[in-house]
Amino acid sequence: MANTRKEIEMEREPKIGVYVCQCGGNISDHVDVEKVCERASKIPGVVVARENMFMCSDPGQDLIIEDLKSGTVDRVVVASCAPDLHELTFRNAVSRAGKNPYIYEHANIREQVSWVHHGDGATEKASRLVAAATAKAKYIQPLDPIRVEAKQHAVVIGGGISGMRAAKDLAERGIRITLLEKSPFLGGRAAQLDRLAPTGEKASDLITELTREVLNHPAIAVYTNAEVTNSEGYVGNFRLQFQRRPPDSAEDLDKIKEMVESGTEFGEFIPLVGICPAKIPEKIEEYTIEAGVILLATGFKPYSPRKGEYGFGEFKEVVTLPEFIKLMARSRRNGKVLEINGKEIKSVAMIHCVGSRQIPGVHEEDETGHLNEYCSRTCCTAALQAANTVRDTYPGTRVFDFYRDIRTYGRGQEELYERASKNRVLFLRYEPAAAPVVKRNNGSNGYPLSVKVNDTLTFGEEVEVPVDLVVLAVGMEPNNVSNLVEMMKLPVGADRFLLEVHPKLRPVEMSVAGILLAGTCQSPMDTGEACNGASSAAVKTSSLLGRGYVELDPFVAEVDLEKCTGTGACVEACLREEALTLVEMEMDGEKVQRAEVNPALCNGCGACVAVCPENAINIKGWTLRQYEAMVDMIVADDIAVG
Amino acid sequence: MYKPKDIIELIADNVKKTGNPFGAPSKVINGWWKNIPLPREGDGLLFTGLMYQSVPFIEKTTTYLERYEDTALVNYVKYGRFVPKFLVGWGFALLASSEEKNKFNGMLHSIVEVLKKSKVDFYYRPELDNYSGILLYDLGDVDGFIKHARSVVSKLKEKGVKKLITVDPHTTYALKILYPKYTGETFEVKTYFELVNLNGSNGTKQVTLHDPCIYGRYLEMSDVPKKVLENLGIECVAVRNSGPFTNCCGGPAESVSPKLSRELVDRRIEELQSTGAPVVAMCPICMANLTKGGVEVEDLSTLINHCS
Amino acid sequence: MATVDLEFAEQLEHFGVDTASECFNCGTCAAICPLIYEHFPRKIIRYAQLGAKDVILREADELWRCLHCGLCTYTCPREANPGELILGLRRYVIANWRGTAHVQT
Ligand SMILES: Cc1cc2nc3c(=O)[nH]c(=O)nc-3n(C[C@H](O)[C@H](O)[C@H](O)COP(=O)(O)OP(=O)(O)OC[C@H]3O[C@@H](n4cnc5c(N)ncnc54)[C@H](O)[C@@H]3O)c2cc1C
Ligand code: SF4
Ligand code: SF4
Ligand code: SF4
Repeated sequence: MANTRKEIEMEREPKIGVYVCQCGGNISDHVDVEKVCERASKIPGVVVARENMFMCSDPGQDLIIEDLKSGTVDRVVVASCAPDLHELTFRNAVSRAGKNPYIYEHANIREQVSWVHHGDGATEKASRLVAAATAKAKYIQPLDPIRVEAKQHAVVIGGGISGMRAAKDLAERGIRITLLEKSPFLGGRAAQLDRLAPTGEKASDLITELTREVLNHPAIAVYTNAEVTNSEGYVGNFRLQFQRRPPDSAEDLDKIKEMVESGTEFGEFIPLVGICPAKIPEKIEEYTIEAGVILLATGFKPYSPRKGEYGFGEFKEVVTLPEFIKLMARSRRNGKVLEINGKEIKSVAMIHCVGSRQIPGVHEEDETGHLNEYCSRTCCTAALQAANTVRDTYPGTRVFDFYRDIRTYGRGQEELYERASKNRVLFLRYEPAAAPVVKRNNGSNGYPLSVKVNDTLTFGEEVEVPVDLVVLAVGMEPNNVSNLVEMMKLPVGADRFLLEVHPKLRPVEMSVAGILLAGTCQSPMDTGEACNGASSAAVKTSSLLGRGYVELDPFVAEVDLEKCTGTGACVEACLREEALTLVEMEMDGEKVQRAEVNPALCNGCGACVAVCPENAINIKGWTLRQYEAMVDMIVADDIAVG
Repeated sequence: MYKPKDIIELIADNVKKTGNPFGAPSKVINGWWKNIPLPREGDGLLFTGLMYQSVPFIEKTTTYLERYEDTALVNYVKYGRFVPKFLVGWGFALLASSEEKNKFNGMLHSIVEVLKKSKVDFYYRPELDNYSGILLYDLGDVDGFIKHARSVVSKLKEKGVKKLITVDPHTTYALKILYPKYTGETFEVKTYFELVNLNGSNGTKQVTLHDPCIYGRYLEMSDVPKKVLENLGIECVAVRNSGPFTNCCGGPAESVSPKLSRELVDRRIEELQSTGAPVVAMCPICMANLTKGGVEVEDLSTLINHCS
Repeated sequence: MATVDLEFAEQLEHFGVDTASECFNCGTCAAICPLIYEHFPRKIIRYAQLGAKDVILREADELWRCLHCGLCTYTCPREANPGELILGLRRYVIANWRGTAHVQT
């Protein structure tokens, strides 16, 4: 039946409308848009060819809508920027004109033409790309998106502040949540802090409150010591397996022992650790759950300095900022002077950008050949917060702050810098290629270490500061989630953080539909920003699941049963389990094996198309016939000269 | 550059011995009042601080100092062998020509005239009019300054003096700001031109007023002399860098580096001369330094006196 | 090389050098200072701020270049009073030369 309808439609001569965007000069400065239109109008099947300053603007889209409504055109080709920016915009315009959104084809003449070529060559290439698009448009068929029921259930992976924030928001919207946390504790890294910059609230208060809300919410099921072992399915219908295991980290076991010894109950906050909500499992427990959406909130880990980096691992007086925050919080409970390991600390050096903003050729790569070239964004503020705490609590302790740049970028953060100045924190500035040097102090002044730097604030002169303690403001690195990346085919940025589709247009979605990002697994953030991200991901999730079903693009494989002989070559080539199978069916009274597609699972990659000896399988919207027509048009003689 | 240490110790020693930085008895320096009628009783004590009177001597000294700066003789300052002949004691007093002395004494006479014309109730007592010690303060000898200031104050207090009329910015700053801070004693201090109340009609005249750093910035009172001149129909042409942003004449550098002082005055003169109008100063040090730089400078007091 | 002397800052406060820490090294003072000399006075303010006692004593004579004209103090955006700091440093240095009691040498 479907085939017959297609034949009829294909026979009728299509009426193609071509719309060329100037992109406000972005395209028209290098491509002769008028000429492209003129040439396009001569292509058989093209009935109108128009240009506009901005096709994505309302007046631009109205051109398309009017032509469709008046019946002037029944296929649309827009030549503009890359399709991932505006293909959806124009498809929606087609829908608004009351037509099937898939009678649309896109030609990229900005990223692929005007931004990379100039002169006649640019106009020629644009003309050929437009011609190819019209050729494809000629064989376009109206398609229907694939609709699948969506499970009203989300899995949140990671029980830090981001994961808990997202879980709480979603549960409030009536969506059931399973929260999986790898460690025995909820609260993540934020729970290990003392007071949170820039507001100064107690991390313990914030985490305790949020954790209570999460644990008490009937729609949220929390599993600690839990890790995902397998993942399959697609948006709306994921199936995850996970295990609860006894912790293997000795440190975690110690903390739990300490907790039990100190009489802290399950569910109570353990200072600088977090909340252990439940007994740790004694043996492996296996679980399987189904979910419509997966939220990743796997967080970060502090950069761990190399042995010898600023004396780390060589001198016991060199610690990282997270360690220092803990040491100081403990010392505060003890007395009036800053005492660490029984020694009074009168002079502290803070060194910024340790393990962040690394420069090729200047900094040493890690064992995998990697450099953290990004700014970790939270360390400046956290270091200044710590410096202020020192100065406010122990006026007898001096603080020397060695920085590259001070990046106190957010609301209320610059005030911390101001306060540090008022607090007489002394700033010294170093160039990346001349980092401070931490050495054993050989003088007899009683300070165990000295930090030497070519201080640009002192006109590049060498300045030597005697200190009792060096604190390294270490940056953030993403937690290692390579198993999840592998399992779910997740895109990872060059910085190793998980990668969103687009930082502005789709900031919390991953390119794998139904998998979203919350918090510092995506990039360095402070808790406020992490919660922003988590709340956005929650909203996105609830709008995804809210309709009860999800629509998938129909560009999936389709078997032509007339041609299929059941060789199974396609099934072998298919990359996605269960997307393509051989099934038994009756044809002309005979039992035969034929290929069958599960549209919800098919990636639309086309691996099957390439191997079918009978040309019996095609990707809808991207048929072999369409490719051939495009190629013919690209090389046609008269396209670029007409 | 002279060794600051040597200069400071020399000056400190002079102040200790004679009450002024030059080592000559104040009586020798302060003779301007001798031949003019002055009330010995009244409301406000005219307090010159000996600045106008000293300038002819300072000038002479610095021409010598300038000659020897950057030569090996610089090193002899500390031994008091070479320089002391004119830096200390009577030798110094004999250096200045009487022509110069008359010129600066004349300015003080003009101030007296102007105060009289303005019907200000004032009096003068040479024995109460002492050097303020400001140079010690400026050079950093704060202990010496405090000691000296206390002795100045005690003489004034002994006679129950409450109101002081000053004539130069440095003394004004010392009495108004530093004395309360360092001796705990506060006087009602007014500069003579704050008390001037005169009108005139010399409407055509334009002048270039050089604001001294202390009036311009420290005391922020540049508008006062301007107003006085305005009332006399005299317009002050706008000068690049004036009021709170006025440029230093370079005078304060004299004791340590006359050469530097010369450089600075040249720069300031260029700014002042670019207006085309005659230059007027209101501080004896500015006056002397600008004159040394080669411009003709009139003192504010004589200008007011002539035009009223 | 300048070595930070941790007790020096407190010592300087006795001489009225109590605003050095306000300075954020912007250089406005050096730009407006009529001396136009080797980042004067910013450089000296920086030494005071650091507590680089050794450098200050070594280069003490430089302090007497200042005219006490007040331009820097008037324009400093941080109210660090650079001109007054110079005066304070002079006091410290003199006390040091003279070996006055409350200065440790
Ligand atoms: C030294 C320092 C000081 C800071 N100071 C401040 C401050 O003052 N104010 C402020 O706002 N921010 C501060 N921050 C930033 C703050 O720590 C983070 O913004 C916040 O912790 C991010 O929360 P998160 O939930 O995204 O990640 P995390 O806190 O890292 O939580 C992630 C959670 O996921 C779990 N997890 C990881 N992988 C898996 C997996 N595969 N399966 C299941 N669970 C997994 C982890 O165990 C962890 O519990 C500071 C950071 C540092 C390094
Ligand atoms: S936030 Fe500051 S310390 Fe951290 S990497 Fe960025 S610039 Fe460096
Ligand atoms: S102007 Fe003020 S803040 Fe700027 S460098 Fe000079 S003293 Fe420091
Ligand atoms: S007071 Fe001194 S340091 Fe400041 S601008 Fe004047 S001469 Fe320069």
